[in-house]
Amino acid sequence: MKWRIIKEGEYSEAMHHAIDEVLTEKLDNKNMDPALRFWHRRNTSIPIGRFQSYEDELEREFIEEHDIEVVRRITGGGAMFSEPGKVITYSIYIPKDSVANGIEESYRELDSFAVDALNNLGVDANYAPLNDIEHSEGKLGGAAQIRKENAVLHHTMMSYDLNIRRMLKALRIGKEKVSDKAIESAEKRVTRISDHVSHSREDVIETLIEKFTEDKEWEKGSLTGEELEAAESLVDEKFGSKEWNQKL
Amino acid sequence: MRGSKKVENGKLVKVDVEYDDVLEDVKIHGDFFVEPPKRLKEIEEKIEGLKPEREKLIDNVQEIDARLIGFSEKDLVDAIMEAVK
Repeated sequence: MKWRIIKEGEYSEAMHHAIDEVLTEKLDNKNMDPALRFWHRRNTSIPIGRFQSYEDELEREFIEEHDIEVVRRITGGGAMFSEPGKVITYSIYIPKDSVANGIEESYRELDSFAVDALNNLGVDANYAPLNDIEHSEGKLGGAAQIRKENAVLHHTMMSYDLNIRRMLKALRIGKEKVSDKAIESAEKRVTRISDHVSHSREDVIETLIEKFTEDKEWEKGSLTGEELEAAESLVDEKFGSKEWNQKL
Repeated sequence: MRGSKKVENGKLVKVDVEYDDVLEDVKIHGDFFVEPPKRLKEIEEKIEGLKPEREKLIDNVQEIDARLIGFSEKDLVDAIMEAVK
């Protein structure tokens, strides 16, 4: 089993999610080796969790005004805000039998390379259950997973240099009438990798790859024509459609 | 009607429901995970037509073979009970 490391490819939000579904299914059918893929986006976008309500979580007016691309993930979890070059997102496509059965354990395990790499760079990151990459000054990133019969998709997004004010304008964070005031302030506590170190986004990605591959057999790779074609169809059918993205 | 539950060290579960003697139009949403995903709809359908009785609701939700991640059947029912209050 040789890991394919894909570190290039700039696409729309919809295309990234389509690629995730194509590769996860391919691995589930045992038609590929596991892979790690870094995302590069070409526009501002918001991936929302599979089970979230579009109306409830997003400021529709702001999003439409600024032409922000909203895509529903196939994984659960919360809404994230992303701008080109300002976040670091990766997807891990891994056989299920290589992943811990316990959910909490598996999230921690799969992102431990990232936490270690950040620590090595000088970012004092740590993992907080269920699926958060935390810093003493706030949340750095989060992960989401879906498990198929034979494969697991685990993808993670971290803020590199995100415009937090814009994020708070686009996402209806903390507007839920919940009695626990601690939530509101916690969710507004977001920090970024660039707040703590001066490494470029590319350098951080290189470091993540080095850490990830240090104990594995791997090769640098890219998406095949077939995979890209299948993903493009899936954008038409699903991730580019209002039906899927706004269904709740 | 809306009810919600923020699970300690977990996720936020929100329920939208119509209630007129029994529960109708149940929509469960939030930043949690359900494996496999299609079970969430099955849970919604199982609840529809039932009266908002705590123990009975918990039993019914537990009958669906789903892995709830970030919340429990009890948390879900707490949110439902809040909605119909």
